[in-house]
Amino acid sequence: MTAISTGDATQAKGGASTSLTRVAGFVTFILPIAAFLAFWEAVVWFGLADATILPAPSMVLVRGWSLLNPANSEHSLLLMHIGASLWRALAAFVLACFVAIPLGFALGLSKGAYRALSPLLSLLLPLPAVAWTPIFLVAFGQGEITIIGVCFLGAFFPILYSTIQGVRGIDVHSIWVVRSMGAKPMDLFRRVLLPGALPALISGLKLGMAHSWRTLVAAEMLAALSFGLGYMIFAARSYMDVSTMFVGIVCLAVIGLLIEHAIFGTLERMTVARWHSSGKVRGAR
Amino acid sequence: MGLKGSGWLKLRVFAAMVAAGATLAHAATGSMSIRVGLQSVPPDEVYTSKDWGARYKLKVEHGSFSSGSDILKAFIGGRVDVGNGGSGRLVTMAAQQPQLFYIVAANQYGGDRYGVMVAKDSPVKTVQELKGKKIGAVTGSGTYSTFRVYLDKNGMKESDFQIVNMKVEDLRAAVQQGIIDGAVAWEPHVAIAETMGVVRRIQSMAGVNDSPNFVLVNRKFADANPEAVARYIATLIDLGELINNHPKEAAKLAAGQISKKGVSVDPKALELSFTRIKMDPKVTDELLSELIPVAESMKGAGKIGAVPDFKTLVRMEFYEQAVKLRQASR
Repeated sequence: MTAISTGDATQAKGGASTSLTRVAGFVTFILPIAAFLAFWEAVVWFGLADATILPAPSMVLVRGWSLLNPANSEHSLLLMHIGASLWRALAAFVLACFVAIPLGFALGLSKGAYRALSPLLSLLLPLPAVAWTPIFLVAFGQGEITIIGVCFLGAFFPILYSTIQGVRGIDVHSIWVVRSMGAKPMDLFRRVLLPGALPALISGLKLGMAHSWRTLVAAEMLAALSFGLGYMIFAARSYMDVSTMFVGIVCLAVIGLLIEHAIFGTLERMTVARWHSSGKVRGAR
Repeated sequence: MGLKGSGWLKLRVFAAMVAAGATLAHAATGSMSIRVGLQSVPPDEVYTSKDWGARYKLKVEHGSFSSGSDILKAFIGGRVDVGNGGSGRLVTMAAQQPQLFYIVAANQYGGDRYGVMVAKDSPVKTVQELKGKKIGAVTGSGTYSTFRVYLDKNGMKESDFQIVNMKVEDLRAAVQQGIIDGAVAWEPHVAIAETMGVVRRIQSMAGVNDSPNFVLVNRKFADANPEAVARYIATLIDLGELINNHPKEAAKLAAGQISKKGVSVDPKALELSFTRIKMDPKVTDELLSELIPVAESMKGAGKIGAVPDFKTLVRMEFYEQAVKLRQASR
């Protein structure tokens, strides 16, 4: 009984300590942002910047709230723009994953294939994805295909290269050992290749999503027919609606941050961090 | 044999009459559609805000484009049946692909839709006073060409100023911040900036030229669907009447349409802008003649081989039919 009580107390103490650490972490994260916003607000408030050129954060917030239209979220213009952009960026990202990850594993494992394709990839890698937009516009016109196609190219190369590096970084002895123990190709993939390549792969996924999200804005500005955050920013610029432009920019930043922390942070905690702390992937470098 | 031959001829004439009657009946009562390229400019926003084709049983499919150049790309690619373009692009198309289109109507025009603006508290009151100073402009635009004509007519030249090439959307902020001393811009940018209270318009380009935009229709489409083209032009005449006679109402429609994108714009700015734009689809010789100096200048610069014969590209029968349609539908 006493032992149980002591255990509970230790657990409670540990829990409280974890919560405190999280709160401290949150405060440390939010403090510089809050300070920056306060400085920005003060700059406009004291007339050091013109609100028609640089609207104060409070003005951006008010405009964002009216566009969000929380009382009638079904007709929220901001949610419609966000939804359209998210759909395009995620569709491009998923497509890029489907193509780049298997190709990355194939090129990482086969030196011959890598040598054959490497010159072409090196040629295409430095090209910014946005540079493809005019070509896509001529070929497919304005609309989803062009936007998703351009974002796909933005996401494809970081994922591909990270996968190749991840696979090539795996200690070859680990592969030999598992093979010598009679592992089938699927076992080899599940138990060695995937866990070993995952840290680099997740970095590639993060970069891929970030590139897809960044490319999206430029692609939507040029090729969107109706909705999307890039389209909204572009339309607002055409009519000098600076507050709406800032709402779009803030949304892009916040959503980008949430995607990185919520999706990839969780994925990282569930896989790499857990496996490495439990020592399950010692074979991998 | 003679009877047989005569009977066969009667049958063919009868069949032809039935076919013609059916076509006319379809034209008179049936609904038809047309694909139109539009952009984010106030007259096009008014056009998108309501179903202008309903009165004429015409389904107008709007394609939204980020610029006039994108509309013409889609037009050349066959993705829209109707496009519109400023004089520069029209001259290029007339020189390179005259077989592709007809000029069937005028779009917005009028020199008053171009203006020179300065910061609200600037001491400058005339363009003359801007000599030696920085003027922002979109140097390849029709607005800038009109400004050059204005300078020429008033004994000034480009080299009297420091011309800074900028995007039209950036001119207002640049003037406001003193990066440039003045700017030449088109509507609605001047009117919006004026309504915001941050700039003053010191000079309109009214009377310099009309710098018309023209409506182009794909030839194959027009030949196969003359009625649809006439009905579309009838909608443009209606649009022009609204904008010319009821700018306040047109501004409300445009502001409402723009707000559907999540963008807020003062209807008063759009109203002011509409009072400076002429909208009459009738293609006149005066409007057409404005293309000649543009074409000559482009020929001189080696951009085109010869000055096109623009009159051969104009088809006024669609406009005349549109006028009849409007009278009939009253």
